[in-house]
Amino acid sequence: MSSSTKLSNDQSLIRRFLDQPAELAAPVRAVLLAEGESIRLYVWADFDASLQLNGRWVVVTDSLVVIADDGDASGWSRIRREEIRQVREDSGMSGGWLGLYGEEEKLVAGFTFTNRQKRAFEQLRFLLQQQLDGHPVKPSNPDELYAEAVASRIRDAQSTVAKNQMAVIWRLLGYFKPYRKEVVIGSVAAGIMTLLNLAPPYFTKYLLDQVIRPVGEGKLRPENVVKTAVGVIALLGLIFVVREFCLWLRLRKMAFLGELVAHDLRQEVYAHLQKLSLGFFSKKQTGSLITRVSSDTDRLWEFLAFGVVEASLSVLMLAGLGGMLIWMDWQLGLVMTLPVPLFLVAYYFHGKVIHRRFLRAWRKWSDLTAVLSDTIPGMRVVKSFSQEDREKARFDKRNDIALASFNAVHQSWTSFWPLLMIAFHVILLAVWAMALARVLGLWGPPLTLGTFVAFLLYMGLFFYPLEVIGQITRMMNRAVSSAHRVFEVIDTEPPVAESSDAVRLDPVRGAIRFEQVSFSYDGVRQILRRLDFEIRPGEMIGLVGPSGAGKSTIINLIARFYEVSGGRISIDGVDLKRLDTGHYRRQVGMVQQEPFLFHGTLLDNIRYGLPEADLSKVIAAARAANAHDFICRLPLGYETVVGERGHTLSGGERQRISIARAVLHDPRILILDEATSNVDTETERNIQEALDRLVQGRTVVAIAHRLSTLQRASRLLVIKEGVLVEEGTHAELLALPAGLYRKLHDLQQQLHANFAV
Amino acid sequence: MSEPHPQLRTGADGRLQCKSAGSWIPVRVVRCFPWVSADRFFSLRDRDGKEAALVEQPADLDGLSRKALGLAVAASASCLEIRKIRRIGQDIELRVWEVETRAGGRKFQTELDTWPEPIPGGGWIVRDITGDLYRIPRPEELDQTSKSLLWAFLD
Repeated sequence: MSSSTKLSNDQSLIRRFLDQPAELAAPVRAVLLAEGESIRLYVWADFDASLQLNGRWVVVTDSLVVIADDGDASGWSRIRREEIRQVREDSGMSGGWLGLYGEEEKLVAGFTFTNRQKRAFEQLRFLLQQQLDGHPVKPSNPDELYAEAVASRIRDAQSTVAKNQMAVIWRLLGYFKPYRKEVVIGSVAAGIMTLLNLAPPYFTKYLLDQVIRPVGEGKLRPENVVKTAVGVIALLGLIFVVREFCLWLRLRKMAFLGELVAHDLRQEVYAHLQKLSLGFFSKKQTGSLITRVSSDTDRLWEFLAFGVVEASLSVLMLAGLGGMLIWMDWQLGLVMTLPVPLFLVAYYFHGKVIHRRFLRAWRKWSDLTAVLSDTIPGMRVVKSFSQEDREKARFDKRNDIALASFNAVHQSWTSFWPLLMIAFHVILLAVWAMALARVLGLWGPPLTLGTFVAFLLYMGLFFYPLEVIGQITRMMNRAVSSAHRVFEVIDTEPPVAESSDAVRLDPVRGAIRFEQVSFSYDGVRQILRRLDFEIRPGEMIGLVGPSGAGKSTIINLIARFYEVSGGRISIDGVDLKRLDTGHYRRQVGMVQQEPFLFHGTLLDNIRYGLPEADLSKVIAAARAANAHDFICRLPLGYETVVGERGHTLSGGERQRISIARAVLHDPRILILDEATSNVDTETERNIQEALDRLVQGRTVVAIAHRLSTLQRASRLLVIKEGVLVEEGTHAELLALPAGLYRKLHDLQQQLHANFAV
Repeated sequence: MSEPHPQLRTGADGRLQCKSAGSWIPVRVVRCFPWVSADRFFSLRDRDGKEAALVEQPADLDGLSRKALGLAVAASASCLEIRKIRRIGQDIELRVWEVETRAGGRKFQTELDTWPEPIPGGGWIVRDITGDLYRIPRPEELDQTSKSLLWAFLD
């Protein structure tokens, strides 16, 4: 998605969902631009001084902070940025406060805001703080920053790109394109089938009026009767055959078609998921993503295969029936068709009542399942505090309430349908009464027996299409909701753009160079600032620093999970952006803090990066990772199934499998991300031994919480607030008495000594 | 032995200050039990987030301190209070609320499976997708339309 599309989407979300402006008021912008100011950032402070929701703009330009309301520009507050000495932020229960202070801690401006504005205010605070810290930043797109900060929560929650329902339906129907032939065949078959449904009652009328009655009246000769009757029955037989054939054709084509489209969607979503950034996965819940690939595409299959066709056919059927009835007898026809809108209105209101009751029942059901998700994982705690009876009582109470709520739903529809049927039968009785009177010649124009019977048969066909039309809105809402969720994934652009003339380094030697590298996840908060360092092939580099210093960001950039915001990273002298990402990543290995094993055998897991690897190489890798012995202690050895529902391995064992995976993968650049932080000392020693073997002959970048594990590193880079503050060997850095590394090292030693006591 | 009662004041910047080791430091107030005991147990946190003092009972404070605390609580430890519900709708995966609060009109969204929660001591709280809180202190006193719109959500 381009930057302008994203801005436009965010702004449309704000306009649609929030009662605040989607961008800086034009008069404010115009005044500031006329004054020659460059607008860098703006936020909407939604509370006024008396905590009323009367918003005002806070605009940061290169030299000013301007507080602008609806009034005349002469009444706006203008604070020179150089006067600001301090920025303070407080968070409250449902919002926050930001204060700008001048000399002698004098408050020059204060803003109270709700949580909705919090992210925008954090950007404002960061921008001003950076200037105070001597690292001024100049964001170039204030509209984008504001819209993103305000709309992101809606976007994340709604999983959509804010389009109208019909646009989504059209896009969905676009997936039929490759299967045009099947669509045409299926639709024509369905149309023919529907129209043929209208034929049998008409032939009944014909038989009664043109055959049976004339025979009774002696107006038709027996040989002609047989000929006509046989002809009509043969025609009816042909109609039934054609109708059943059309039904078969329609079901077959549309069911397969729906399945094909769902298959294509699933494939597209899953393939696209593989390209998306780690940031995308950290924002979305795993369950929600799985649902999009499975249940949502399934729901779309149902809609595409049957929903669209059923709805169209019902409209066609209803129109055909109405037309037929009025054509046969306009008076009786109108008696039948005029109440149709009333039925649809009744459906609509019943839908609303049911929705409300269902909503309530759904809430009660959530309360009930909340007890389950609380207590089942926490059963150990329940038992240890002997709270089984209390939990049982809690569940029983909620279960009873849920039952009552669902009974209310059932009460609603079980009352509605009989009432609706009564109304329908009243109409039938009216038709009967009017028709009989006319058939018997007691009232009105005469009516033939055949027309009367045909009417009765047509009336029986009336109810089903009415019911389907009543369900259309609900069906469309469900489908659109699923389609939105699926399209959101498909429409998310991968963060790393592949160069058209991508370079393949074969093999990568492992020289890494950071040149003035800056990086920001949100465009404002600089995580890395003009970072410069070089790693030679075969070196082992330890990254050290406090939490939030930017260490993980450095390894994410080396693995090319993100693109740099400024500067350049080169591998063997080639800009990382020019490399073929897939080819490059195959030469980069990672051992992470939380090793992940897929469901499958240990063999599959070790061979994950190289599925064809020779078994002897697998054993060699496992040996190098100190994993071979514990694997051989398992009854099924390397074919022990692990992962979900499989054998449970300890944290240290899982880590050694992931090291074996890395050894087998034989990467030229190895990244160790806190590989030994979650294990005991004995296991750590085992893992450390394995790592020592693994790092031989390759470039290694390691992050470790325990500094002692980095003593063997060729060099250590000490990072603080995104800046390289120290560099050298363990011994060299310890020799700096006021150094950050020395401080961190001493703290750990002290902690260790305290625990040792 | 109970802690001595802290001295509080409203600073020149309108923020709460607490006297600590002879000097006034800015603090922010956190309600320890925002619903169960909204009028007692206030934790005063300094700029590093550390507790400067715990006020168990505002009545124990001197008059000026009590007033300053009251102002700070009103400013930061409260939430929007709903007086009227105009509409509760649904828009693809979001429930959209249009309400009238004591501070003015407001439109906000909750996730479909986020429900208003009863709060001890009466009333309900709605948490929107940005974390803003909306309190319905006495649903039974709302107008008929609001009550009808809330029917599926409260009981």
